Amino acid sequence: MPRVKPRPLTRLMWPSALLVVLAWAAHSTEVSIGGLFGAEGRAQMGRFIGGLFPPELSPDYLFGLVGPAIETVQMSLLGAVFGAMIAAPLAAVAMRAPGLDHAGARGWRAHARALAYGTARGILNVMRTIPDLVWALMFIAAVGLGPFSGVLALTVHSAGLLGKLYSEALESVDLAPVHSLQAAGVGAVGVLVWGVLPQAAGPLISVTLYQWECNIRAAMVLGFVGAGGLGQRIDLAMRLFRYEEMLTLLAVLLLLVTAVDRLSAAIRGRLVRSL
Amino acid sequence: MATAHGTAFGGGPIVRIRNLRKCFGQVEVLKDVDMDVERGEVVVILGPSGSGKSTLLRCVNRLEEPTGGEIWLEGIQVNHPKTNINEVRERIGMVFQSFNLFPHLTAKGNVLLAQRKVLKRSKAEAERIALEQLERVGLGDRVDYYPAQLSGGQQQRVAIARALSMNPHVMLFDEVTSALDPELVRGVLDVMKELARGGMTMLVVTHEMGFAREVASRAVFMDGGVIVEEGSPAEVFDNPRHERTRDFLGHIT
Ligand SMILES: Nc1ncnc2c1ncn2[C@@H]1O[C@H](COP(=O)(O)OP(=O)(O)O)[C@@H](O)[C@H]1O
Ligand SMILES: [Mg+2]
Repeated sequence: MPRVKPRPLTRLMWPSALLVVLAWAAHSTEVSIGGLFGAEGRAQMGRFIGGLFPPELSPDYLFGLVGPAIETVQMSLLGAVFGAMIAAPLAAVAMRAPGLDHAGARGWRAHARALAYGTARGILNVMRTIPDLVWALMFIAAVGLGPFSGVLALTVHSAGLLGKLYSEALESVDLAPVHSLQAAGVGAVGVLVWGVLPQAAGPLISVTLYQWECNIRAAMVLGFVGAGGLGQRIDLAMRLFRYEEMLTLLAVLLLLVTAVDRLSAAIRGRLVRSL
Repeated sequence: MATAHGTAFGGGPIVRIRNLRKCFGQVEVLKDVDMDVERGEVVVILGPSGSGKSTLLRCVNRLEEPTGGEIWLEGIQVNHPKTNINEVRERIGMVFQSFNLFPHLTAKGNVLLAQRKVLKRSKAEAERIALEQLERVGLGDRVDYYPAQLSGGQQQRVAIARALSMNPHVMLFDEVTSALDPELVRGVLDVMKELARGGMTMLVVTHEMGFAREVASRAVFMDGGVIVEEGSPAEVFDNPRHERTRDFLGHIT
């Protein structure tokens, strides 16, 4: 069957609709070229950029950053590890495995299974959809300012993300060999441990390390609201108009993020290759 | 009550299927199927695609849950809610059309896994048996190869060795040569013939008429979820009583 060529008018419909939406969005968010590059904007930017130089590089100051920097890395790491520990069991329950469902599951068992599945998915969705920043604010309200709130926020948010990614990794394994294990008399737990996990190990490790990388950036932002680490220093520098400290802080941040990225990529490469 | 090894299970068919029904949603795929398989029998099941052959085999080890009827293996009702299905499955070897080997394990690793995890054999014993069974299917020199390094026929023979290493009392074969290139089919069939001669009880879904004539004690023709006719291979293949059987045989030969 020959494809009908869309008429020019129809072809223009979607692009124009998109333009309208963009224009509307720009208007409501007060996007203005003038605001950024106009005289006033230019002056503000100039003051800020000028203030960055010369950066604060006194040994005392730099030495004082070591603690917060380590704290940020610790927050990101703990968030990823605790998050993974919460995500793993939830993902195992929240995974769909056609044909693996316990042959005996009938009646109330089937209902219990469906309920567990729905609950696990629901918990993961809530943990993931609420932004880490909002989690941080809630935990700060609960346990006070400081890195502990940051760790909790990162843990919950990481658990939500990892849970979803884990269950996807588990679902994407080749189920055929797993079925053969089941046919040989291996029970549900054994099927997961010996059939599914070994095949998913690569992706599982990968996404966990990637989550750590994301957490280091997130840990920084959480500092702005008082959850400790280097972010809190950046917030402080901004508030006190100590722009000369900003450049140093940003450089340290860049260094940290790069280091973590490299490290995690290296670990990932090694582990995944050795599997 | 039968013992775990079925030796004390004396008389009667090793597999007994009564009024088996299976529905997927509203669709009735098996309609009142009865079948008895005696120890040492080789039953070949054939029929058009979609007639319910795979579903029948998969009900025997309850990979599919029967909707109605009863299935017995060595005096244990397979589909009784109180039956520990994994104990039943230990006694049933199954070989699939698609081999179903773990890609990250070698031939030996694949044969070891269920022995270790289900039968709790020691590493040494499981290895000895794995090598023995791989030897038996003609792969003594391929034990350390990964599935990707083996031909389809070799992979299927690994799958057979894997099933045999569990000392099954019954073997189920579901179109195990259908996914193979023609030149690889023979090696797999030869292994199965050997098994049949050794007295293994086998339920074999296949369209390999030569194999069926040579080793089957019985041929069963299914269509539309029912057993249309059964008898010795000669009876069913050379003198089919039913129109549908004649049609089907006319198509595949
Ligand atoms: N898991 C399933 N869900 C729904 N329908 C199925 C399922 N498995 C098999 N069927 C249907 O049951 C019928 C019999 O299938 P099957 O036993 O695989 O036939 P055969 O092995 O003889 O080709 C087919 O119509 C098939 O579509
Ligand atoms: Mg089939």
